[in-house]
Amino acid sequence: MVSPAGGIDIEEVAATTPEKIMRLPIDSRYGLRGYQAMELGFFLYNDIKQVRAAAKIMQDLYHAFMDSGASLAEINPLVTTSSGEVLALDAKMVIDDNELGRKPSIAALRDDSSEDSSEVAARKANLTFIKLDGNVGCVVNGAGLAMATMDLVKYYGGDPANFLDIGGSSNPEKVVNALRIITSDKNVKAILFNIFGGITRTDDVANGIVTATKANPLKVPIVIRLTGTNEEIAVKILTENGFSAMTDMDEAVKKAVALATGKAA
Amino acid sequence: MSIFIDDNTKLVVQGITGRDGSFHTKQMMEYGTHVVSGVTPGKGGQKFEGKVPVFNTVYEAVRETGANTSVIYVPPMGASDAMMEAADAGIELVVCITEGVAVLDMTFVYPFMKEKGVRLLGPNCPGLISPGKSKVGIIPGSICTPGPVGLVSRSGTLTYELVYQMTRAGLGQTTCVGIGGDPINGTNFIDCLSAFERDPDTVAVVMIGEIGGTDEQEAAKFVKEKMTKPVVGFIAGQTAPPGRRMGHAGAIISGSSGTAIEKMQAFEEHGLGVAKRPIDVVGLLKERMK
Repeated sequence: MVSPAGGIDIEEVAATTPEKIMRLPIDSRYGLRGYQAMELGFFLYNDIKQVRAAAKIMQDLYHAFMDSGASLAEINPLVTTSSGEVLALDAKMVIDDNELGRKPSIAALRDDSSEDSSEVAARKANLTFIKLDGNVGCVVNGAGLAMATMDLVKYYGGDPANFLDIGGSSNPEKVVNALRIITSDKNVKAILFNIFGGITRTDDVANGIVTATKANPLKVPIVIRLTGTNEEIAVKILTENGFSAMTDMDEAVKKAVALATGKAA
Repeated sequence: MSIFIDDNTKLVVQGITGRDGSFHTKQMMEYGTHVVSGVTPGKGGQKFEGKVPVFNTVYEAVRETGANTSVIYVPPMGASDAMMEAADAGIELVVCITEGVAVLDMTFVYPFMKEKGVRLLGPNCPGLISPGKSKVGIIPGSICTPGPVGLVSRSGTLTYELVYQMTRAGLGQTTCVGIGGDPINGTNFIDCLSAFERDPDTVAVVMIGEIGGTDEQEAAKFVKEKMTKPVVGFIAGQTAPPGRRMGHAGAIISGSSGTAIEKMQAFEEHGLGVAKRPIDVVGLLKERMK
């Protein structure tokens, strides 16, 4: 995608003057062909030297994009100097997380200090975690169910403290790490577990909860909802250790919201 | 009837001897899926669980056992090759469970499958199940029951939640399909909706989407223009912050586009039932199936 009206607010340009943006789909099997790069160049310049210079930059950008496993590569702004030279002044790239395994030199560039410390800890523990501003800490398996759980917390008048997906694998250690990360957030007033066992075995989650809370007793109330694979064993483990378990998602969310806001459930 | 898989499905499992592959193959066999063969390079000649023959290549598995469907449980680095190998060997439906396949890999795999005329489901999906007939993938069989509702979803566990709530309310399913949460996937909402529209046993359809992209909006338009059967929709991520990838690679709000509100409005405008909570799907279905 190129535009002579680059700089800032490209979304605004797209909305008000879409004719100033040229979009060109690239088939990765053939790459960005020379004639395509020239088309992009002609959209920006009239002078053939400048068109060629711009086209060369487009092809270099395309190669950088493919070679680094990017999901975005952007030059903004591309400038013309007073002597007529075409130059890239600034650039931004986003790398697909799924590429990092086979691109160690790029993975090594990651700067942990630019991220929230709890999110860094979560990534190292193989958890997907995003910190939010609410007070109901959520531990869920699966991204879709995690989002739906946050939505339900909001629906019943609460505010989620985070998005946290413990993923599909059954590993009590993951639950221990998840609880450590959630309880380090001082805003959290109640913790909600919502686990639908498929690949995830609910008894593993129950064991994780018991282990984690024995080592570090909880200072806030916890509501546990689990159903699916090995549910009976999980409920037995939890009950023997003084926890109660629920099976209905809506009821569990309502209870967690009530506990976090201090209203009776 | 059902869509994509049924009693005639003959399955080859790619990565059958791996940790996830072997676990889920046992589950599929217990459910009654015809698992005719498996593939693990270097382990050709072995028997899985004493009865399912293992081959070195998909080509051999197809030639020797007549497999027409494949399911992939191989690690992300090998998954794109596994999908193409299956298509090249003459498999008609390829289901890729593997999570973490690079998007740029998919820009090569996707057109390859289209040119071969092979249906790809996934990657990063839970697979599909036609209750009482066959299951391919990882959806727990115990929560499903045969019935008149078709279900298509971008999610895994959220699908289980919805199916569980439907089954508890007495609403069985023709087929439940998880299309996966990646930005490029082989089968999209519209593919499934049109298959459900053609399936004589499907009376109504549930569509579960999430934030990111415009697939749900396009699917809603398709429902209005091309479908006679009622469709009920739910969107996850109503409280998701913009600019953050919510677990699934495709679940990201860019600028002001791809929000749950935008998608729910598209559902509303095109006459779909819009569930605010997962449980509302049940009520809306019962209303519209009268």
